[in-house]
Amino acid sequence: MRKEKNSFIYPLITILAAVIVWEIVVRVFKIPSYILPGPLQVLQAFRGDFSLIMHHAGATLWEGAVGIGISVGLSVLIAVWMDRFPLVKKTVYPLLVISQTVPVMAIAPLLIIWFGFGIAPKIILVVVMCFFPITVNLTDGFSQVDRDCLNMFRVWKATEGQIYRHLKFPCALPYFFSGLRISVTWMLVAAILSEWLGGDRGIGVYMLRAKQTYALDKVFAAVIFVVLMSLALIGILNLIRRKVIYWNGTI
Amino acid sequence: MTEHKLEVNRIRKQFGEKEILSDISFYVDEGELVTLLGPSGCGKSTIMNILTGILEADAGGIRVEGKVGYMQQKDLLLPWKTCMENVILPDLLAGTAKAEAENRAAPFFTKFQLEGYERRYPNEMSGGMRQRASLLRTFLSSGDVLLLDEPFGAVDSITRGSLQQWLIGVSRELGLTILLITHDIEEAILLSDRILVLSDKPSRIRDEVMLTPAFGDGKKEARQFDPVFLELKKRILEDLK
Repeated sequence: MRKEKNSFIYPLITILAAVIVWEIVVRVFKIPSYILPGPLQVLQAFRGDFSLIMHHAGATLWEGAVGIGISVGLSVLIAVWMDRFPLVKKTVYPLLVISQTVPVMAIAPLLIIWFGFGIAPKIILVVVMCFFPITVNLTDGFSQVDRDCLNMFRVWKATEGQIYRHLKFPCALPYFFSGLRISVTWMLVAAILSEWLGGDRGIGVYMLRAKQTYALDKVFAAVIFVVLMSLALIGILNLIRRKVIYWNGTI
Repeated sequence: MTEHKLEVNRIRKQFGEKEILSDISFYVDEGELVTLLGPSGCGKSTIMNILTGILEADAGGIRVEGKVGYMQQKDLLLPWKTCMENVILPDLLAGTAKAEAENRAAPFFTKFQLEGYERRYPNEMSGGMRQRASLLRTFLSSGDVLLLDEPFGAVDSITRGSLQQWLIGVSRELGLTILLITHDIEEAILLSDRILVLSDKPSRIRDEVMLTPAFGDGKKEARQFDPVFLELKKRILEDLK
C-alpha cells in the first residue's frame, strides 16, 4: 500500500509540469481563449460556475450510481446463471463478448429516440457499458474456485446457496472488484455521452452548452472536474475493497 | 461375524479402458488406524473418493457405521473465516446454530494444540497448525471414521515428525478410527495398527502387515527406534517391488 502512495508522486509531478508549460505557452503565444484557455482561466471559470457544475454533476452521478447498481445486480444474476448451467455459459458468454463490439456511439442516439430525453436512456447506456466487465470478472472468479474445496462442500452435503455464500462469492470478490473498478471509470463516460446527445441536466449538458458558446474555459473546467470525480470514485472503491476483502492469502 | 466400523467388499473401478482398482477388500475396526500404502498414482485417492461418495464403484460394496470425514493433503481452510469459523463450518451447513457449534468445538482446541487461535485467520497460522485445524474440522464433522489422504504430505519433515507424534497421542486419547493413505513407508509403520500394501495399477492388496503383534506392547511413539522397524520397512519395500 505504501508503495502505491509513493508512486502517486511521479504522475502528479508530470501533470504539474504540463500545466505550467500549458500556461506559459498560452501566454507567450497569446492564444485566444476560444481556441485554448490557460489553466488559470480554467480555474477561474470553475470557481465562477462552481454551484452550476455541482448541480449538473449531481445529476450525472445519480445516473451513474443507479446504472452501476443495476449493472451489479444484473451481473450477479447472469454470472450465477452461467456458473450453475454450463450450457447457459456456452450460449450466453460468446453473445456477451459479441455485444461489446457494437459501437456505443451508434446505440446512444437510438436510446434517446426510444426512451426520450429523461433519465432512462442515460441509465440504460451506463448499464450497457458497465455490466460487461463485472459479469466477465465475476464469471472468471466463480470458475477459479478450488475444485477440492468444492468437493469438500459436496461431501458435507452443502446446498447450492450455501456453496455460493461460504465459498464461491468470497472467492470471486477480488475478481468482482477488478471488474467494478473498470465499470466505475466507464460509468461517468457513458452518462456524459448520453447527456451530450440530449437532456436538460448533467455535466454533458453543461459541456455542450459551454461548447456552443465557445466558452472553452468552462468545457475544460468540466472535463477536469470529471477526471477528479473518477479518481475520487476509484479511491472510494479501493477503500471499500479493503474493508470487504479483509483476509490475506488464498485456499 | 463381528461388526467392522468400515468395510470395503470387493470393489472395482475402471476409467474407460483403464482398470484402476481390481478387487479391493478390507475393513477397519473401531479405534484402529489402518494405512493404505502404495506408490503414487496407484489409485489410493480413487478409493478415498469412492468412500466419500464423490465417485461410485463399478462393482462391490462399502459399508460404514456412522459418517466418514475426509481430510486432504491441502488443508483447504477458507482464508476469509477464522479458525473457529472454519472448524464449525460443516456443523453450520448441517443446520446447527452457531453458538451451539462453537460450544461443541471449543473443548477440542487444547487437544488439537490450537488454543488461543480461535479468532485468528489461516494465514496467521503455521503449516502444522493449519493441518491440525483441518483435522479438527474433519473430526467435528464426523467423528466416526476419519479418512486422511496424505495429511502430512505438504508440510516440512520436522513439522511432519511432530504432527505424527501428536496424531498418535490424540487418536489414542479420543479413540479415533482412522483410515490413512500415504506413500511414506516410515510414516505408515510409525502410525498404523495394520498396513495394507497396494500394488501399482490395477490396484490390489499385496500384503497385510500386522504391526501391533510385531512391536509387542510398546507405545507407537517408540517404534522408530525399534529394530523391528527396519525389518518391516524391508518387508514392505520387497512387497512394493
